[in-house]
Amino acid sequence: MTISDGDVRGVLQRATDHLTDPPGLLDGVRQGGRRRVVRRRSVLAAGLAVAAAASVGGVLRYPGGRANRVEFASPLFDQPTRGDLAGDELHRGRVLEAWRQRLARIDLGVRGEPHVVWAGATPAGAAAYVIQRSAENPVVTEPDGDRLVGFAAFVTSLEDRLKVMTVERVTDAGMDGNSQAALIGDGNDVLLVLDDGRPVVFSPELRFAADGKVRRTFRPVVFQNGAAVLEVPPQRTTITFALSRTPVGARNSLRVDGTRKILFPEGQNLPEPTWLTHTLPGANAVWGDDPEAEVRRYVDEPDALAGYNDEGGTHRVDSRPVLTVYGVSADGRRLLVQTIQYVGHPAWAVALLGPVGSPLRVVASRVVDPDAAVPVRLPLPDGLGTLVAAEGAAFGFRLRSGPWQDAGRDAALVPAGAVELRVTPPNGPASTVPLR
Amino acid sequence: MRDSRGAEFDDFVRTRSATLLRVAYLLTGDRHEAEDLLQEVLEQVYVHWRRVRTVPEAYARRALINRAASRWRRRSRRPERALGDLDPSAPDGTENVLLRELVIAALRALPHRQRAAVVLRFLEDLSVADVAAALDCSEGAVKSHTARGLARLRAALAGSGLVLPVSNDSGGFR
Repeated sequence: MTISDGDVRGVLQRATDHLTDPPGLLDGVRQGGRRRVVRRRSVLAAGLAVAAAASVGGVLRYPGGRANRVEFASPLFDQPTRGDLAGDELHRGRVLEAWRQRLARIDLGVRGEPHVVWAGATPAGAAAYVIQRSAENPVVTEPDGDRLVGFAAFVTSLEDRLKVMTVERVTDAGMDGNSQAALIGDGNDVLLVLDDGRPVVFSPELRFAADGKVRRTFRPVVFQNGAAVLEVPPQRTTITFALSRTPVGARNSLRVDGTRKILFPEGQNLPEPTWLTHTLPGANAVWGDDPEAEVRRYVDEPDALAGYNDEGGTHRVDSRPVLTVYGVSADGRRLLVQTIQYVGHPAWAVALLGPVGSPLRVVASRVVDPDAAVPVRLPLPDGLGTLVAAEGAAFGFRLRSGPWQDAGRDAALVPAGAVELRVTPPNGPASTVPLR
Repeated sequence: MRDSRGAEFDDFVRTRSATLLRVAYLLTGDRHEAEDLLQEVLEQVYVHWRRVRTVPEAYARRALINRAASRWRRRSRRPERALGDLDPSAPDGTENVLLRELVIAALRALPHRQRAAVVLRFLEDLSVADVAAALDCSEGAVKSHTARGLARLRAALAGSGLVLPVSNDSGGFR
């Protein structure tokens, strides 16, 4: 029988037809990518000592003749077990048995004996953290050249047995890319945080101020004998707590195992938001030759919006539309409006203003009302008018009893003197909204 | 919030991750390993986005090949798992499952560069020059790897009874 090239193509295609993107791939990549950037910057700035400063740091030795095998000396593999159950041989035996069974199922190449780094009691039952050396030490990051040195995971109680949580790779660059904490317990209400020698702060609740800024109260995590056990409000559909090294920030936030099942229930990918960007008339005069790139610089690296972002928190992308509007104010400044939203909380529209070449600063913010004829209605200070936005709608306004004047579609900046706004949605009658 | 990689990076991941996952799966023979590999590679792309944004797929493909090679070398020194353990994925038609296991087993029997050449040429439909760039070898070597790999893959498929050729070259199954 002859099998043509086309048949081979079809076979390979069909053998992979069952594959779909892993849930939360994009978010996971971005999160992991950021950690890599941070780690890389640390290494470039201060040398490997930065990574080695943590208790997991180690030393590589290359035995002759085996390019894919190194000896990695690290306290993480060798130090005595810490925690209040460190001397409990029964618990240790159960932990190691659970670990061996788990590894047998996923077929990882390991060598030597597994090591219980920490073992202790928590309100969610006995728990542990286990690590074992990998059989080989291939380079797993390029161009950094980090080598795989082992595998590690939290072990937690589930009813009357022990369950190994996510088995993660450990590299010689340190544990910054690994989960340093685990969310455990039937109610997802216990946080187990390992002590790597660096200060960690914790905030249990996400709250917002009247202007939409994130209000968190952080307190230091107090470690005892290698770990800290924190009680948190039950994490049901969102992650409300934040856990971060200092200073608090996205780059310092700790990775927490056990959050994925809450952010992506039943492994489902949730709908991505629609990214809406609208340009107001005259914007090019202040936003330059490549306005979209310039706008993105402010949206993506939002120092001015820092107070509105939940630095240190863990969230998935919301499925509501994300709006960006940019233009020019009546006094010639750059105007940027951006919506910010977290799952389970209202979206906020935030307006920023600033002269060309200077940082923008927040001048107004207001909750987005998705059910209103005009979901975004944001009065600007200094008599600069009102920014309005409604996807697909046509806007008009009038000054006192004057004639209606067209103001464009989707988004508009109506002057301060306008007394009425006319909104014509794509599929419906026009309505009039008083502006004063 | 997006960051400085912006919508461009997001679009790349959204539009190309499915194809890259297929390649990763055929190179590793394991769905979970393929997903891990894909995530590692995309994180690498993320880190170097400014440098590779004009050719992100070529960069990602090459990284995928290199990383899969080191995994393959590690795996090749250990006993193979039972085929049934390879990919306990969602329920599927029996013939599809059998075909998948057959393909994975046949690819697994190939040396890494032969496997990569076949996958890139016949799954991704890349030109010989593009495969040479991905494998960092000459076009002649690509032709050689492809021909040898393809011969062995054809032999495995022909003996299975799962693949019947069609008269045109569009590929087909019955």
